[in-house]
Amino acid sequence: MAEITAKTIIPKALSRSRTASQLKDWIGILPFFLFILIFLIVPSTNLFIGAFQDQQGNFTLANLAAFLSDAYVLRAYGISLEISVITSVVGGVMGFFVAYAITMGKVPGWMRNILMSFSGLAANFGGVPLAFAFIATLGHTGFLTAILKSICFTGASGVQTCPFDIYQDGFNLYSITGLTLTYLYFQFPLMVLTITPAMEGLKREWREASENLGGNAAHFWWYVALPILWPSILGASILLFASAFGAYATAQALTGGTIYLVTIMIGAQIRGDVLNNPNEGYALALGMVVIMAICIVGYTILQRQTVRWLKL
Amino acid sequence: MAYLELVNINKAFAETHVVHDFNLSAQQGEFISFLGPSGCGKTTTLRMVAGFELPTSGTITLDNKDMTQVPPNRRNVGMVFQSYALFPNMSVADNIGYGLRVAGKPRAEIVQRVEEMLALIHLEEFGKRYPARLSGGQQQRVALARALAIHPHVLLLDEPLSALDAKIRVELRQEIRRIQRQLGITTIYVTHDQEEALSISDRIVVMNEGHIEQIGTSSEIYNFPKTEFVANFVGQLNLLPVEVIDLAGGLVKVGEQLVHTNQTLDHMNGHVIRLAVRPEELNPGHREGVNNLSGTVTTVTHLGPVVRIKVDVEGRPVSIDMFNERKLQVPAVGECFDFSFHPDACWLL
Amino acid sequence: MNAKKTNWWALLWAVIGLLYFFVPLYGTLDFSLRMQRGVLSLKAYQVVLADPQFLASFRYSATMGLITILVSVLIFLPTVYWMYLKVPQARPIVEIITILPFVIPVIVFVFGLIRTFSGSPFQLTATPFKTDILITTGYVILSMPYMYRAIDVGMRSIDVRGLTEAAQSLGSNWAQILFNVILPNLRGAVLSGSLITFALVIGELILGDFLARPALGPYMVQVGRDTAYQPSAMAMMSWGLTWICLGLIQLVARGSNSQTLTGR
Repeated sequence: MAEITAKTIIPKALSRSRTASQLKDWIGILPFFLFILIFLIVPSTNLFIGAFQDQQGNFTLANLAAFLSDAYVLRAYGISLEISVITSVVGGVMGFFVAYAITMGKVPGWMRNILMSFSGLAANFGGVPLAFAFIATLGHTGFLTAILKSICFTGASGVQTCPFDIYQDGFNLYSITGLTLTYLYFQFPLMVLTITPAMEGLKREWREASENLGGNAAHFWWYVALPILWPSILGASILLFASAFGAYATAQALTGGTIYLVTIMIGAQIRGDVLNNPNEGYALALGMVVIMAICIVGYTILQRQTVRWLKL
Repeated sequence: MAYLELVNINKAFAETHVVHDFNLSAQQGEFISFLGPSGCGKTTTLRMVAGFELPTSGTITLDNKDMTQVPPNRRNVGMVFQSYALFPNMSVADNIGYGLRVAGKPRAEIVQRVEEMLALIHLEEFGKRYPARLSGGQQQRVALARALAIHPHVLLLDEPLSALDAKIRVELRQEIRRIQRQLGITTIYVTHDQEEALSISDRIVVMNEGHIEQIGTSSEIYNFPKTEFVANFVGQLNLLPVEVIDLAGGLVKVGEQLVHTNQTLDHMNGHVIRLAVRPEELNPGHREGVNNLSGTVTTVTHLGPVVRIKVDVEGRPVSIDMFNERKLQVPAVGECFDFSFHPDACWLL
Repeated sequence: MNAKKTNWWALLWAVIGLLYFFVPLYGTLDFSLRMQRGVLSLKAYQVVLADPQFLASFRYSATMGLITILVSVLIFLPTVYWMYLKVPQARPIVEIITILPFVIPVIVFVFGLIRTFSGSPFQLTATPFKTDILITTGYVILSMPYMYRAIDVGMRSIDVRGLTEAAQSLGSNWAQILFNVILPNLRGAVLSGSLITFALVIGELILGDFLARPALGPYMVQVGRDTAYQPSAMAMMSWGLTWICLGLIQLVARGSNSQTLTGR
């Protein structure tokens, strides 16, 4: 009798202690989870809940409806999307070709090294200093502006024309165009950094096999390289989009908040002005997070696809 | 004029001279192997035939047309890479049809040719599969089919079997040879595996440090190696330092024992002379009318079909290979062991 | 492919890339040297460095940077260590958490912080000290992806289990193992994470601005509004600092770090 009970008790005790030890194991990470919970999860969730409340605290979907009705909101999203799409496409194309030059273009080694290290630097050079740099370069009295303005020709009629006076021609750094140019400074290096590993993963033998079978450069890119690279290119572009969409400091420092991006609008909302209904601000914030989440998920999925093919 | 001619090919990368005065005349339909250790220049030479490297000097002629400056995508030589280099984003069928697709061939022709190729490599059902889901051997066969699909003038293979298991290697090299014979296509095959080269080639080019050591059939290379490197690299070789007794008569002495060679030695004055003989040419036991030596057994090794007996002959190690038999009586270590060999079986280096 | 032919297309884009990098940089440098009319001088830099407010805000941000590093390491190092040792199954969750600062833009994050903590019962924005606590937690969370990744990569390269068991068999407790055995072996990783964190905090604008603390970012914006030459001098200094930080990281850590730091 005693034997049987011992045999039945001990396994149960073991399994019980196993689950107990499993739960206990997580204790070590508890501080981390608590910290994140208190200072990240709760504030964010609070914000999102606020998006579904009205000023009295009752549940409502009216804030979300503002997306479709409030002109300010629509315009802000429009501008943000416009800048994000343009900089991710232009920055993406630029970055792709620069990455191509670095990895496969057989440019001199010194050029390659400078491009790689500067991509690392420039991708990190954003916000206020970047805005200042562009003001110093392309502002009204900027370095480049002055140089361009000084390129003058004396025409046949004896009249001196200075065709590159960009401000005369309507350019303005403190506009969407100017902001786009400024964003590109960190967008295209980000593309270079993100896509270079994928391009380096293109095996030399694939190019040689394509040539060996009679294909030229165009065949190789169309049939082999671009199909293999497109998840990586798309993923990197999404990353660029998210990077531009969430940017605040550069725009604020450059334009003082006059260009109405969603981020600027949220910032103004925090300070207490603009929107009649503060809860709309929360909806704005929620909208931003949803868009960013979609971007990050898309990027992750595309990254996995890239790794799969380039491992072969 | 041979079908494929390499004349005085030299290749140097900056400071290093990797291929020296390479000369080869290949007939149409011939299967030629480049055999040699890593770094001997065999792959570089192959890549020059393919057009991926430009010779520093020399010419490459195919079917009486000078190909030396022709870019790789216009030579119509099919290459099988060591890593197969199958396009991972394309199915097997698309991989095989790639060359025809870039040549602008009509779709019907491509489909038919792909089917032919799949049948040739016995992978008829695999057209829609992707390379990631093929085994190494299957990938290799697809790479072969892809190279052959374009009706190349010459087939080039760069150590295609080196990444595969031993058993599959043997199967596949027979396959490659069978297909090559069936199509009658001139082939160059680069390998460092001597058994591979010996078993499937019409002729072998043995290379070392960028130089050609010898070109010949398997039998010529093995039985009549022209240089010590070839003798050593291909097959096992016993090398015994000897003392010359009679120059003209080809008589030498191994320690205190006399050995007849059927070689005159006049040209060897002043060199360190060594007796070369393959282990399988040595027979156990004493025999009249031929060379006889004896020594003490140091090791006996069973290699499967062959039993290798290592014997110490007056301080020099000698290996004797015997065919294994179930009733074989192997000598014990330390025993005295006699063996004999015909004077024609040995030569002097 | 003929090795001798120059790839003009690649060369073109390499040049375009180089120009785009250098022209703004050169323009900023040039502008920053022109404060004194007619001559090239370092006057703008001198003015900046002499400004007591600059020094105060730099000191503030640098101090906050160091505190952030300390808190970061104190939170993440034991967490990653524990995860490796006891609960590897927690990894997917932890990795998702460390990606969250990318998903939640800083402006949204600070919005949430203010809404949650400024009112009662916390009132963390009532006094400067309490706000400093809030801003520190903000900085820690902003630097989380980088610090976590740096420590994670470092931890992967050491034999965590072996070292721990050896130390345990010699009688160490958890704190001793962590700080006497594990941390010294992760010096490179922790250092590179710290450098990124430091650069991030120094260059950060949004938290400093909206929580009304005297950080370097808001100061720079104010200077940018009021003066002409000092902003470009500060931009050059900022660029130099980033360069130094990233350079040190290259020295300290193996492999390239392609993460992005400063808030934009």
